[in-house]
Amino acid sequence: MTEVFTALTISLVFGIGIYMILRRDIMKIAVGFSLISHAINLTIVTSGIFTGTLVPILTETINEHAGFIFTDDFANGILAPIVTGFTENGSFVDPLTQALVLTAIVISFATTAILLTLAYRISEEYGTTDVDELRRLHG
Amino acid sequence: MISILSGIEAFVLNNLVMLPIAIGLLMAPVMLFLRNKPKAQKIAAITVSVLLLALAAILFWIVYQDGIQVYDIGEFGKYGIVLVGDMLSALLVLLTAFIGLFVLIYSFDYIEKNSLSASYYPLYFLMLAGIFGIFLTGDLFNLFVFFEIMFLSSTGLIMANEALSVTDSAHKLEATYKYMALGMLGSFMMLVAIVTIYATVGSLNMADLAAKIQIIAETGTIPWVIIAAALLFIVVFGNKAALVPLHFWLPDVHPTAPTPISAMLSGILIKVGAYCMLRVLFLILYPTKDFFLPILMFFALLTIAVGAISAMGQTDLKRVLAYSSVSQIGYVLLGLSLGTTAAIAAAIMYLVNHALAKSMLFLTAGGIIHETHTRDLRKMGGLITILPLFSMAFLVGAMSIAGFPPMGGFISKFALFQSAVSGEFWLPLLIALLMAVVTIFYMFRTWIAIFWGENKGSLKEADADPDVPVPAAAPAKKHKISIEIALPIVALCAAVIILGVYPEPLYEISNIIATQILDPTEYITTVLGGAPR
Repeated sequence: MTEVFTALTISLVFGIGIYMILRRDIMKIAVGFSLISHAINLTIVTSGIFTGTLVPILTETINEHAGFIFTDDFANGILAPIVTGFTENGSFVDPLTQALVLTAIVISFATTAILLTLAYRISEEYGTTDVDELRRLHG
Repeated sequence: MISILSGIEAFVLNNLVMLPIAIGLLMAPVMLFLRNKPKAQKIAAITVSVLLLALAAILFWIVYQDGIQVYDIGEFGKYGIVLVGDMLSALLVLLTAFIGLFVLIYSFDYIEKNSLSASYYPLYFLMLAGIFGIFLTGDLFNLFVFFEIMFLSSTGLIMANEALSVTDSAHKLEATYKYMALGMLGSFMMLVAIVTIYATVGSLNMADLAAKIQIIAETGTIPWVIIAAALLFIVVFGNKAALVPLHFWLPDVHPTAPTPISAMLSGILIKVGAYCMLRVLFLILYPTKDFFLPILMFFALLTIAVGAISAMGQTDLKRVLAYSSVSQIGYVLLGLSLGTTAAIAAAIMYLVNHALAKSMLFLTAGGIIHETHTRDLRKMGGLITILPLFSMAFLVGAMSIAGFPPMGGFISKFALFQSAVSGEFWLPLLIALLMAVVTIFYMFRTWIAIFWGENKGSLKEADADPDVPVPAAAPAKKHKISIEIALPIVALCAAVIILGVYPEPLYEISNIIATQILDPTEYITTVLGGAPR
């Protein structure tokens, strides 16, 4: 059930973002871009959290009971990683998506900062924040 | 002394794949610290660029001799970030370092001094690091990070000031705004595609993904989300490579950027899109080829036609070259979309030859603009007696783009058409040939408009025309072209001719690359062979 609500939230935020970047005001477009980036960050997080229940830390006790294969062995047809002996305890939450989303947040922060600077300079240069007025390159 | 030297040698050889990226990233803050010492900055920049070229050449040679090189960052094996130098990466790193060196030399004279010291050098090296990273990384998410490094630093570089301003800063802002908006949407889509693949397959390592998707394809049907991700990747990389429905930022951004950056954008940055298609679609997502190859071919043909036809009607010198870039990248993508080994080899040859010729043409165009103070073809004419070097260089470039022997462009066009004939793709061949004729028309129309005919006075009495923005100290007559502008043009010119007269090595290398891409077994076993430590 949580997944449905998360998916609805993501689609709603994404839709608002699309609506905002179709506006004419350059500031609203910037807000739209950051809303879309938030929607996508949410997508990244949700692609990892619903599959498992365990905290992704390998402790000694867990390590004893489990058969882990981390190295590929093409001769025997093994394609790592293979994690067995865990099904009774549930599986791990994927830690990688959280690392990915942090990187994505930082990058979207930098991009938004540049876009806002650009918006400020455009409003100085053109005297307007209406993107439809940016038509000096037409033709 | 000898032990120190051998120590350095061992260090360089052990970290060869990582060094171009690390040096580029390191140079950005170093250049910022040196911003009050322009001389030191200049020396450091040129030294490091030569060093990067040497490193790229060593990397290329080692990959050519010993096969694919893998470098673990953090020693986690395939679970961490790996850098992979295969033939394709090594060739493109070498190409980038080569063009990057000459573009940097050109910028010394062309870019305004304050802008050069304060922001141009750091951003330039950051962009180089991003491009090297894109070419060398073996991790899908890392590819996205380097994409953003390249994208953001190139955004800053487009707005750098020229010493002689022929472009309004308002125009630059408008062009950059288009570039930013489309680039941001592209990177969002790239994230969605990457996460889709990660959530489905459970890995981000390219070799691992390739192996797993191959197994999925062999055991049964491919999940539709992977096909959707493949098509999303076409949109993302097509946006970078200016595939036609997404091309409209390019004719605004490339002309308004300062000339050395236009050369870099047209020479390397749009090739990044083609490279990523080759890497992601052909290496990782090759089992979905029945879905993306026809789509890619349709849009590639559209790109060729729209670019060439638009280039015919332009009156702005740099806009002609920009539309020509759109058209030519269409030929590269057409070669990819034919899908045979010969066609992919031809596309790689086309990519290299076009990168050299087009960056040289942009640098020459910048030199012409530097002398005439206008970008308008209608105000030029009869410059062949005043600018003989530029007329020769532009002719070489125009012949290469149009595909005339003995230039490099002839060999690559010939190989592309030959592969289309042997693969029996008659309709694409017909369209490509027709547009090749149009290419000849617009390149030579531009050359004639600049160099033949009557001197319209843009050099002699520039003040007579009120539309020409002439600074107070306009050069009234022929004056000496500085060595910083002449040397890169001559060097790139020489490269274009050498690749046309002696194309055998490039042909051989392209065939190796195409074989490696279509049969990724060597790539997969080399990358996954190393155990996590």
